[in-house]
Amino acid sequence: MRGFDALRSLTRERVRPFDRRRSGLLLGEAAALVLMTRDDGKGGPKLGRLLGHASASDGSHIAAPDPNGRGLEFAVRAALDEAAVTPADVDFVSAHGTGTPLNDRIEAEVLRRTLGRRASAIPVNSIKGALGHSMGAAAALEAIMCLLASREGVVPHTLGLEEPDPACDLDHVLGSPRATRPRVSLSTSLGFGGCNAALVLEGAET
Amino acid sequence: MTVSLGSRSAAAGPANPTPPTGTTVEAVAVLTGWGHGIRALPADAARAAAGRAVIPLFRPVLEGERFRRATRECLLGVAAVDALLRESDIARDMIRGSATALIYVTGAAYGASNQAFIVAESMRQARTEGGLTEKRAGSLASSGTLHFPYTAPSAMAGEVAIEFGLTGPYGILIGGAAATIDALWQATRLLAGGRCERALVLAVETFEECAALYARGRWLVRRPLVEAAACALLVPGALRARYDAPRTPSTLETLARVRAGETLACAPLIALALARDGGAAGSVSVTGEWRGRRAGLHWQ
Repeated sequence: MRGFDALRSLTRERVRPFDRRRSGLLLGEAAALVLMTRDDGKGGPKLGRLLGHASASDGSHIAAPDPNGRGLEFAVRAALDEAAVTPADVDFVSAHGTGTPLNDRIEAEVLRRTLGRRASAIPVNSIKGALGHSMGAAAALEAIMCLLASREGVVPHTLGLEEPDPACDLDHVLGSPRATRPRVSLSTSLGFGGCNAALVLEGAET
Repeated sequence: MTVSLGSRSAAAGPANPTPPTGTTVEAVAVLTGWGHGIRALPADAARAAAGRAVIPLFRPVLEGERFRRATRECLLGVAAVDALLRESDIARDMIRGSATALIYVTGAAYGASNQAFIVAESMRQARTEGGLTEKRAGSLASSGTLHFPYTAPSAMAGEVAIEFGLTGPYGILIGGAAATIDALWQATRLLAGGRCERALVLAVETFEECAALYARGRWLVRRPLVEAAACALLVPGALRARYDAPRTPSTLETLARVRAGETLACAPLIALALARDGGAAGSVSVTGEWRGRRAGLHWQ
């Protein structure tokens, strides 16, 4: 906690991803596990499929994201490419959304660039407003959330987001959960050292 | 419930329609507590250690303001990549950009930076409790800002990416030699899938800062512990790689341990360097073990 506080990353209020009043993150302890198998039609019911994954370094700064989000953009485009999907196929975005001023603005810009006109029509959330930032576990939790959203037909809203920042203009799920059944989801994650990763997931047919 | 791996549309095909099918290890660089390169390795590390538990590596002196704050393991990572480029006469511009993947592996080298952060924090707390005001302790508080980012293993790969301008795919694996075999395999997959044109597999292991911890857990790892930083450059080539989980060590794994000592994640890269030094240009089998799991990669 002291380390994040020293970097002025911790909020003194509450976590508000993509909100104009956002002031930082809070930590949340978590553990998440996903069992992955070959796509051979064997075994029991599947929660979904991993269609694509990509990663990229910023090569920019040890503790801050690249100001133009180059690494994240590369990762998102490559993950969509590997999954053989276009922005038109994406039904939902689980954003990294830490609630820090810089991350959320850069991430929103990257999503607008990579998803194009579809960016304003694809529901976006961040569960860090509810769970805090669980660091290494966060990406696994968010991937699971994407697949559960597909199974349950509902996307959780971004807790703490009340006044969307105009600089983070996306179709945020705010106020209450949204009844929708995303089939293809995009999930983004960033880390210290300028590492960026993106997953494209497909929920199992119900 | 499980998640399966697959592509949405097989008809759509892979991202790169004509991926290369093989790989080649183009270059390997090795720095160890014994010196620069594998020619510096003794014939028998255990005998050469003469009872020393840790054979330390130097702290590289690198130019640049940024390196004043970087941890020793970060500097060693940069030094290993730099050595690879110099020894192989590869220009820095050749690896700059998104066509180069970086996969970093360590079993122990984030311990030193965590130790540095804990010590800095303890000093700050002790001085504040000793009567120093928070305001006067300001300069000490900055030590947390300085050290904290380096407590993440990804900081090591980050420093190397910043220094060499690497913006391609990355991977960070925590584990000993078996994780390095996984990293080499991951590099071959990235190359085969056309995700990069070249891949750097980098391993760094430092022990000296946490020597007291290793002394307490000395049954967990062999001796001597030899600090090392090693890097391999993989490019598309003619050799096909096969991954498996053998029960017994390869000849190269045994040789690397005898010659270098315990270098954890660096061991398979040292083994590759030994193979190259011995003139092996064709089939090479490297294996690596970490806490009961052994992985193997075989180029044929």
